[in-house]
Amino acid sequence: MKGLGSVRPALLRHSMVGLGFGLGAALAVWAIDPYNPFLVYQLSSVCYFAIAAAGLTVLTGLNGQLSLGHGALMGIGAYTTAVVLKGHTDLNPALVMSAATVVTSVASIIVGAAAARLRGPYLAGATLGLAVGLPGVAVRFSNIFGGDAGTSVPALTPPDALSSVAPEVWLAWIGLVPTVVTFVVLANLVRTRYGRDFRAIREDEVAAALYGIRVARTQVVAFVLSGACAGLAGSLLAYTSNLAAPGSFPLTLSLLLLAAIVIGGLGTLPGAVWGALVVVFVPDWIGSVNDAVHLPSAVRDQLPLALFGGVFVVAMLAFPHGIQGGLVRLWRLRASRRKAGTSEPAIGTT
Amino acid sequence: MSRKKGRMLEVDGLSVSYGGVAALDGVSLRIPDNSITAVLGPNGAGKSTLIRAIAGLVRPRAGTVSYGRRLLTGMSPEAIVRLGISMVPEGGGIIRELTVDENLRLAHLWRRDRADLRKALDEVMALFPPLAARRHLPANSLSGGERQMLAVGRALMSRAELLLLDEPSLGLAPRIVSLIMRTIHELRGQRGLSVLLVEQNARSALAIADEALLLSSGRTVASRRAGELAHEEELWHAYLGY
Repeated sequence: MKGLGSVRPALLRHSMVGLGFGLGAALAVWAIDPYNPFLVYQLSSVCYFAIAAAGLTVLTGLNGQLSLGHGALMGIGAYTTAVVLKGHTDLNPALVMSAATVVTSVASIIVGAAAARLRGPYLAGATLGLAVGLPGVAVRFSNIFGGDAGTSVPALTPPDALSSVAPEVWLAWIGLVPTVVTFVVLANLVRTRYGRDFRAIREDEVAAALYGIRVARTQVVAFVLSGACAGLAGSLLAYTSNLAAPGSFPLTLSLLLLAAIVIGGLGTLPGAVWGALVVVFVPDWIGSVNDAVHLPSAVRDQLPLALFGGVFVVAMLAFPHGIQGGLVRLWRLRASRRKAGTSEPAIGTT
Repeated sequence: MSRKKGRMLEVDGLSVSYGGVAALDGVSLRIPDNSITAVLGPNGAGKSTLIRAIAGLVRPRAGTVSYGRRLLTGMSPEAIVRLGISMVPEGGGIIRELTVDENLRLAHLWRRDRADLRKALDEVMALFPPLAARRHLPANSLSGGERQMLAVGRALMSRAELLLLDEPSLGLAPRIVSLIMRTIHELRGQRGLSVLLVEQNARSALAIADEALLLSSGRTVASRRAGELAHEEELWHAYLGY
């Protein structure tokens, strides 16, 4: 393969950055656990949100296909995990997560093939149907999927050699692995021809076709790629919550993912991380503020959601291109100021 | 690059309608190898529809398009590009957020031939020096003329044998128009390309064309040698308005 020559340095660099980040995060998780185990548990949630958001931001941000059904695809990953583990409780998590990823990818081929024929609001409508309808399947076939109550997923326990490690730390460590792998793979993929094909199609499908790009096939590839991420994320969610239940994959999960990629910065992988942090931590902070002020229960129950919406509106006003967009702009502003400062020192001193 | 010589584009009785209104009504046309054919006519004559139908962007109601022995009718635009027919739509159809370099590479990627990619890039840069200077800038920072150069360059990157150009002179300064026309003429001479050139700017198109087709209301009014059409005063007055 001649093509690998130009890809390999970037792959190596991304792998090293990913590995370094992963090790740092793992160490941080271990260090904060004695003080705040709940925070460690939340970081596991950040992992699966980040994986799913990264996949969705490639699909929606780079390829221009809007999906309101990625929460349901996460459900497919979670239920695959639960069903696989029902028979073989001790199965290696890496195998189980791979199985969930593969099954969800296969499901995504079907959804993606339909999606490639649909545009704008019609695509949104079709994927919305997926988000609304799929949890119903789990209820209908309750003998396999456990109905409304769902199917339990055995908790991950550290191996004997690491028995001093707390279970939630172990869970977070396990969660970091697929997260780092996903981001390294996606960061490389968006730099290859696929990334350029995705962007070309988002900007102008007709022009892309005239460039010789196979538009429909590339759109399916993008959908399957992001579906695979959703499946992996769903599997991790099942491990984190020890449960695969219809209530875990409501329509709001799909909308929350979409909100995460928009507030983080559409089409950017760091944006997926910022978005995941926001959707995990902001509701929790709002909740604790809400508990601190003593309000009548009718107000108290409704206030968090309203505040969450308010935070989003304000954030989007301040950062129209999301958090990542805002950070990039600040960085450039600082860089250009510093440049101006060194080239024209006379202005500053007089 | 092996170039299969002698392939001819044949359009036979092509009809296209948009929502029941006929845009093209039984138009036939032959573009022999290594020739420039100009398609002229007033607004709404069906010039763009003809070029779009050949490129596979609109489905004809009746008639056929074939290239060599291949029937193009019903094929997808990307499949037609891969046969060696490259269309430059009105306005260029370039991907504005990608850089000049990325645009050019993108148009070559499906060939999966890295050695030829380098060569093709160098050829386009030599043909349009302003693009070489802006190679790593996003395409949306280009001027109108540079954008058109990039559009033609992109079409050449796919190693096309037949270029379909839709109004390449639209909105450009006269000096740029003559540069573009001269380049098209040179390409025909040096590389043995065939060109279908849709133009409002009849004089500059006829100056480089071998054959000319005059359309009006979706029908063929005249099909002549370009030199002959240039001297038919009546047709000029009736259809081109000079």
